[in-house]
Amino acid sequence: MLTQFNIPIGPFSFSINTSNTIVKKDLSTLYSDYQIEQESAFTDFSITITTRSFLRRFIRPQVDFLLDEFSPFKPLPKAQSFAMLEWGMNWCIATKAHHYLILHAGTIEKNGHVLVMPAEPGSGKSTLTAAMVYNGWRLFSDELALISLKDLQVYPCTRPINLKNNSIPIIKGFVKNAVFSTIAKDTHKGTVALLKPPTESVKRMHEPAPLKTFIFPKYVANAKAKLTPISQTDAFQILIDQSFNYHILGLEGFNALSSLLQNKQCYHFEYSDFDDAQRLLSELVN
Amino acid sequence: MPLLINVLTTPSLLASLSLAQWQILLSQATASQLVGRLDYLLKLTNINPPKEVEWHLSSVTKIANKQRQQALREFKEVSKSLKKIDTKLIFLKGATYIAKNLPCSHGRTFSDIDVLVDKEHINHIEMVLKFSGWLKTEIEDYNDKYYRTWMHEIPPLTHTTRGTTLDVHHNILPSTNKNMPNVDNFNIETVIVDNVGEIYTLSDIDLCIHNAVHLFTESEFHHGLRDLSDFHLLLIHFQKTNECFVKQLIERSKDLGLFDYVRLAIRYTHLSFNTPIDKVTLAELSHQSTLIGKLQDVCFMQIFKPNHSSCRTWKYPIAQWLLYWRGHLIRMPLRLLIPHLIRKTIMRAKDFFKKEEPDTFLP
Amino acid sequence: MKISKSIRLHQLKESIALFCTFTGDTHFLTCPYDKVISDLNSEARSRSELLMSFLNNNEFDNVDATKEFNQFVTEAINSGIISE
Repeated sequence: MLTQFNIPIGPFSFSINTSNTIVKKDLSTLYSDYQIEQESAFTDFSITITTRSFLRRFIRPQVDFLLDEFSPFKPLPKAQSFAMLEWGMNWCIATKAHHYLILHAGTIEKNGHVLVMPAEPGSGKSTLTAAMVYNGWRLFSDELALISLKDLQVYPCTRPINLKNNSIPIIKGFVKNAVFSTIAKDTHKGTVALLKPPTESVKRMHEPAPLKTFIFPKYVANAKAKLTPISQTDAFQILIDQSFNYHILGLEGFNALSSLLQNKQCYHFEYSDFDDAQRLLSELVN
Repeated sequence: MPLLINVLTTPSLLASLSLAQWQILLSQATASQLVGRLDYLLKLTNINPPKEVEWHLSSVTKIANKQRQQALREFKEVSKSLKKIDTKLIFLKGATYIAKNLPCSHGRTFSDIDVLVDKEHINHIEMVLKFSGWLKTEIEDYNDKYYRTWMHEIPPLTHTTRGTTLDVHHNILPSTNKNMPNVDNFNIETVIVDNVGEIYTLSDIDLCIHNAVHLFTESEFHHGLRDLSDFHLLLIHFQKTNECFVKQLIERSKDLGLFDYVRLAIRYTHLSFNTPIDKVTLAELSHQSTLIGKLQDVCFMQIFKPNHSSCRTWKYPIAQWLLYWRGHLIRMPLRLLIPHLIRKTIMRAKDFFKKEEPDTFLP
Repeated sequence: MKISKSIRLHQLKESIALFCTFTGDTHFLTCPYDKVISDLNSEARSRSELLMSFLNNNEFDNVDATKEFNQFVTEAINSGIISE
């Protein structure tokens, strides 16, 4: 039975249409704190999760992700339905919302200050984000930092957190009563599951906040939490690499990053223990 | 008529749309790659869209502006790379609209830059481009041969660092068409572009003819409505400074032996968007054969509509199928078309049974 | 010589960030070349004036420094940062 879920997520409204049982179950579980409406005056992204090919309903079942009848991706195995939905939603925002400068980064907030943590390889940014938001921080996003080109504030895009492989048991151990989606195995990223976002973060999804600074995290086994200053020049270059739409925004993007870095000190951040990490990051925003 | 067509015909309608209508309009425009054009029409008519809708429009305009900047850069870079070769570089289609700063270039997105070069230097040009960072997009050998032999292009080239795609043609129109005039028959002009200098394009009349021929030799119409809308804006623009433009366009197309394509283009742009054309000319352009004419009308009037569930009818897939065959038969004789289509079907079937690898996603 | 009209500048702590609106490229110039650009940003200069300023400000050995300066200027012209 085709069901429609109209879900406001930060500044965007999504409409998810599906009869897929995995997706319906995971949506109901992970989005239970959201204001899911029956109808919406205007939908930014109308998504359908379905199987277009008749044969593929039975032979090696797969699902398609459609944004208003257009399919941007190849189909995926049915077991990965919910992960596909979440990846697809990220794609929608990152390829279309050019009224924001969009960075590939974990984004968290405390005391009215936002830390944006760009996702270089080995950063463990999603795991770090998950640990922080269940330890006193507000979740803006584990994937997409949205920086408004109008006011340069950071805007939340609060959604389930994407965890993979070892991160799943690690967070299960660290976060009491963590709620997960159906686990999807053998995806192109390995084993993937989505973690329900904290209720408080979901309630405050429409509250932007100013950027404190950029932190470039790196998980280093057994390392004590450490912040090492990085030059504005190096930070700028990494931010360009980790941005989804800097190359589209042109001068607007250049001006935005220049202004954001003005008078700011950015840091490399080494960590291994989450409590240790949390303490050090809190000092930055006190 | 679908909402998008009504709005393209009468842009002032944009002022009175409800949010629900905007939802449908945006869906139709997205399916037709015309969102940027809507944004341009809003600016032209000084109408503000609802705040919920505004970013959807401006985001596409930003992408179009980026592509414009890339095209301007490539005019300079490609000219520089090929300056030692004795060939004129004639930029075509969307690139021409940008070079001439035509109204239809604003908000218009495109995927490739088309350039026409001398056939005799094509191999040398391909080599020089390769050493300037232009690499062949990965395609099967069969498609490679198809491009070179029947489409008369090098397969599309992508620049390794700049990311732009270049289509290098060595004949101005698909070659198996027996009406094929040579590029030497076309009028070339120079355009001065800021920061770039002189580049070559087709003359105003000839670029309209080129648009019409491409549109009416197509077999797939993913950009059909967009291209027809381009033609509509071109006619309006050129008629502003030259009342006789359409008459001259028709005369010239007869000289080139391409009248039938231009006739179809004028007919369908007028039927779709009410493009201003004088009554005498319209009467002269009506169909000669009633049966074929009626069938063409049914098919083309279907295909020049947004491919979206809000306005698609049962006739649409039939029109698609008929025009698919029409386009192929125009470009390829039957004895070559059948083996070509069989080969393409086998390639598609092989793809279906291959183990699926997902495209690169965002994380 | 002068800064190309397509260039926009922003001073960072340790460098100058440059954006070229024609190419869409972003460049970063650190010491000593950031000073060359700062000089040009205030007013147009001839190549020899610029070289003189470059050598004096940095107390470089003339031969190697001149060679590097010329290389820099060539690159900057090719990248659309400076125009003659």
